[in-house]
Amino acid sequence: MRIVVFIKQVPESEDVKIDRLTNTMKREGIRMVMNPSDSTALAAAVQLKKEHGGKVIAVTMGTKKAVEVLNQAAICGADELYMVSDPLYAGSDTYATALVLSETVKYLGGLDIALCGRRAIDGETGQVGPELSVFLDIPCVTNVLELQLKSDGRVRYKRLLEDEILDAELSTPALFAVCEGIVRDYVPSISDLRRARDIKIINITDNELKLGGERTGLAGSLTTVRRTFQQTSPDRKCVFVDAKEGAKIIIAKATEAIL
Amino acid sequence: MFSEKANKHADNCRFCWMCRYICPVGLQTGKETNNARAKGLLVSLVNRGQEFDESYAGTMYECCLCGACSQDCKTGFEPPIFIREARTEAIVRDVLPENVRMIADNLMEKGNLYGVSSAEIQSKLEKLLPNRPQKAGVLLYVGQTALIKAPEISEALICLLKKASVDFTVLYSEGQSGAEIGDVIGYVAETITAAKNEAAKINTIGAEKVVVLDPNVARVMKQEYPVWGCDINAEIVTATAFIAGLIADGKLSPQKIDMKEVTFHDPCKLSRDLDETEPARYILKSMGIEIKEMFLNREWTKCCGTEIVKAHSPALGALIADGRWGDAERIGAACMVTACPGCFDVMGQCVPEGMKHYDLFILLAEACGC
Repeated sequence: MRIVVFIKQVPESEDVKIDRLTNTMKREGIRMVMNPSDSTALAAAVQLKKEHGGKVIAVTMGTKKAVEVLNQAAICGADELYMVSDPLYAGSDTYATALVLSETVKYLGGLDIALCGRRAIDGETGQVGPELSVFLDIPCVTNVLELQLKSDGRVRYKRLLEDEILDAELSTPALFAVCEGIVRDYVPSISDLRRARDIKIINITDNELKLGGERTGLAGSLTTVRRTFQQTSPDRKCVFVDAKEGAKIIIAKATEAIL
Repeated sequence: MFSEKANKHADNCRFCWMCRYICPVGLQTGKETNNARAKGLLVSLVNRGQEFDESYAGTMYECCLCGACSQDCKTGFEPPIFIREARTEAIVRDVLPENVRMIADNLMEKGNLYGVSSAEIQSKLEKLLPNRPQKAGVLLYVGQTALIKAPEISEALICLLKKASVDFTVLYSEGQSGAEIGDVIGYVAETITAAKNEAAKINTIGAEKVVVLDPNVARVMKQEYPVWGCDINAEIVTATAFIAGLIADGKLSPQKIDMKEVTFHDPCKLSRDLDETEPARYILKSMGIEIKEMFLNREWTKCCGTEIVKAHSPALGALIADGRWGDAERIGAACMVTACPGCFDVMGQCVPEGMKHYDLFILLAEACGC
């Protein structure tokens, strides 16, 4: 069984800063971490491997610094590590990113199960997983809370909806975008850590994928970020009152609003 | 390879140095490597390509993991996080110093620091409580240090429990709680597996409370077990808190003991990690003993050096313990009371001439006529 896990390196959330001049995220000197729900996807993949056998293949796309998340993936139980990086891919939006990742999957020989986090904490679009599934022509399930591989090879899952939890199953190959923290992070053993040191990271560039600059990067992106800004609230006032005084204020304000 | 969390703490520690005045090891050796900042610097150097060799590894074990640095840090960083991971890294890279390798092997193969067989541990528990009940309301978890190095403390505690008519038992055999192995090899799967096995054993007793004699073990059971997914179906209570409760409830009525110029050494795991400082003082007060407080007491306590450091580096262990005795001498104390089997063994190895050293439970057992 080939389980491909897509992981992204993101700024640690409390470190996000916006460049006022360019309206883009500042990345210099910012601590970068594995996207939390991708970390859960990885733990879920390793758990599936431990229970049913197979191989966990970790793929990341980004700058050279993103190898750090691949090293973390090796510690957490990934068997193969792939770094997708090419100057042509810089500035890719979710569509172009999904295209690159789908070609990577084809280059690597396909998959049985694809796992990713439901969204990244920097962009928060949640789009790459579903777009990737379209490019790969496989079903996609988002907001996954639970995954089980059945003896007949089908995957039973629980999916978080607005007002209920859906319990269903489907055949593989399929993509699952998992919610944060549904599986406890994998704790490696000494032998896991020794093994992780020996796993080489394989670089994949456009030489391998042969997509070209028109379909990737800024040119291949269907969306453009026009402006990034921090929502600021107008000045607020805070007064501490007791319940009686508070009730009077609420009634007065409500009456004012109605009139 | 260090975790993101370890790297974050190490990168922030490496240029700071503010906690150097609080490290019990650095205060005694005067070595620059014996403080948290130096260890953070070494971790960050390894991340930047420096080789992690035996000397780096040795530095990482010259630390009590007492948490005084974390307590002191005004920005919330915790050096024990990256120091433990550095110890794991030392094992992964096979660069453990020989003296540490020996105790790591003891822990991995025999389940304790001292290389004592499980049959011998069983025998010690049987001797402590012959014909132990299979089930009881309270399980007394003794811990390997008390069993092997300070059995008199466990005997005193058992006497007190019997005196108070507590329905209690002990395990047939105690293995790894995760405390010692976690400090030596880090929080890896082997540590967690050992802890899970121990939790499962504890749960077979069906006790409502688990009274833990060793504060280091109590800390791991209270704080790490929930994180590790080791579920103990009972309330974990420190022995000091439990015994203080028995005195408060009138189930133990100690006689007054005439002791002067007494000081109390707070076990670091008890006072700092578990926020427990007053039960031991209450027990001493119940015996009519007034305490002179040392410099660095309660949550600021200065670590004795720990059983682990004593096991792999006896000379360093004695030097650190000596530092704490110095604190006692400076306030004019004539005797020191400790409330942890590890502190009892470590401090007991270098009692200055003219001073006396007591364990809290042994004192109380005498005061209760055991």
